[in-house]
Amino acid sequence: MRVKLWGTRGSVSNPSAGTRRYGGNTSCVEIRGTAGEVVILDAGFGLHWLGQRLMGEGFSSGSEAHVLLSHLHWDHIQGLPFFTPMLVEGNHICVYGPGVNGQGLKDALMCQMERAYCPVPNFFDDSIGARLTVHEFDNASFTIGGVEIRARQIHHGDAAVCLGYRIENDGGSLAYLPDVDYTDPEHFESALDLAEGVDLLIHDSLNREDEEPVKGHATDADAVRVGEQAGVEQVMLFHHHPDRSDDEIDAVVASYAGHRIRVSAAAQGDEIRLSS
Amino acid sequence: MAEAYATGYGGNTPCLEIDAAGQSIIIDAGTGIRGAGQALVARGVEQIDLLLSHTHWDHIQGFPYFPPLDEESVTVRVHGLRHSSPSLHEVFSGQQQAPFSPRPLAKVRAKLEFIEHEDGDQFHLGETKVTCRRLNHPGITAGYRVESGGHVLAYICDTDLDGDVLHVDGLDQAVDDAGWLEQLRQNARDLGHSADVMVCDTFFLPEEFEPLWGHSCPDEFLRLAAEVDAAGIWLFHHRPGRADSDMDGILERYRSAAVAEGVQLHAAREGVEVSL
Repeated sequence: MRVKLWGTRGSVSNPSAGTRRYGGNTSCVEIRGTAGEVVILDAGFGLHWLGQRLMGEGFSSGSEAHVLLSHLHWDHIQGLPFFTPMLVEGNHICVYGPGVNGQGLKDALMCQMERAYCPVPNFFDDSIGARLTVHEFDNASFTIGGVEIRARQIHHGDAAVCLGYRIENDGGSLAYLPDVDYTDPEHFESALDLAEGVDLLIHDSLNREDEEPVKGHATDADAVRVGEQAGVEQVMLFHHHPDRSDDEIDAVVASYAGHRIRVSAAAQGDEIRLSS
Repeated sequence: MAEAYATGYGGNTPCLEIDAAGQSIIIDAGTGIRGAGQALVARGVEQIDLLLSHTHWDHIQGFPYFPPLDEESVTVRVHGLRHSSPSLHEVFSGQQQAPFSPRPLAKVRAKLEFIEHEDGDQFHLGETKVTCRRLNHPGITAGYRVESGGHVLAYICDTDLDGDVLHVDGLDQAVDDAGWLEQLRQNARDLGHSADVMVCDTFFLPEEFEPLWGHSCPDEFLRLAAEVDAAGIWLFHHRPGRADSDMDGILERYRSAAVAEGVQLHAAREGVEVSL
């Protein structure tokens, strides 16, 4: 499978001179299975640009894309109203994500496109644009073509329901844990389970150990610890703090030089191939 | 003109900061408001007036990340046109409700006030006189005229200056479309007359124009500026796909027309500061 990073930033976008290399868009990762399956992890601002690329590749009537949401904080869904393939009739867009307290996933996504906020017709309403299927779950295992997916709840603060994903295709594997905290040792269990032995662990690194922590998030040290314990090939630091400059991220990565597992930082636009 | 960094028209959604004789005024709450807020907190500013054009995402999505909201000593007054349902306050509460945001609006430390004005209202913020007028956009949208120390900045965004009437909510049904269109054009003239700077909605170029989107081209704003004797215009609300080189090309394309109209032509660049 091929993995492309369209958005790497956490909380809120920060496109600026100082964030040009690692990128300013909020979370969005594209996965292409070997049979051309389009699987998308999270729908931050990067999703708009992925949508433009898909349209440029002729993504039109009859095409299918699968958007897996970790949770519904803005930085993980704010690109959806600007995802052009959703306006094309005949396309089939499947959105997957966690249930929401007292409100269905589909209702929550419709809220984002209410008229006060968004002039585009509400394409979470069934009658508009692409055919839409919404799958709501807390834990699940399923396949999309030849792409195997497993979702499990991970801990992200006390209020949010957040999912991590494990994706396998063509002998390659990755785990996606974009927003996660380990305030209780029990929180490691589901993270380790999803990440066990993967080629690539994409992991929250919003916080740093010497800074006041933002609740619900992990540090680069947490990410590396999970990577080591799960026996992964490579840890990719992700969900960068909006204020973290390119130079600061370089310094974090450099601090793991010579470490026994490879540590990198997610940079918008980068592409990686994973296979057996 | 001093530039905060060397290149780039920027990637944040709309936000302008005005320091009018010590009065801190922000126009629109796009993602740029986070950086503006960091500077306001650093300067210890305790009274902030936010003039909101309208409530589409790109004009409000930065608000939950506005650092002054964390300060108990700060008062933020949010001004906009009257929104009957949902109210301005409800729109902002909605943005910060679960599952979208970890912090509800009611939990922010700063004191918040929402002030809904009528079309044509004039009010004073310290010594600064502000006029708000309705514009032509899908959604209730205000433009602002800010007058301080004998200088005028007009913010006329988002609007389709010469298109059909796009949104009738709150408009007097007894007046026909032609009457409203003339009224909305007159509103833009009233906002912009003799302005030092007119900040313009120039999302489109003529060959890209879409009639229902509620945006204009540089052509219409150059004509308006000449008609109302404004000294200069800033192209603003740049289309997301425009590269810096595209913006340079647009400036080049309209240079001679601007000279012919006697209007100074600039394109808004993120980080740039101007004294009037």
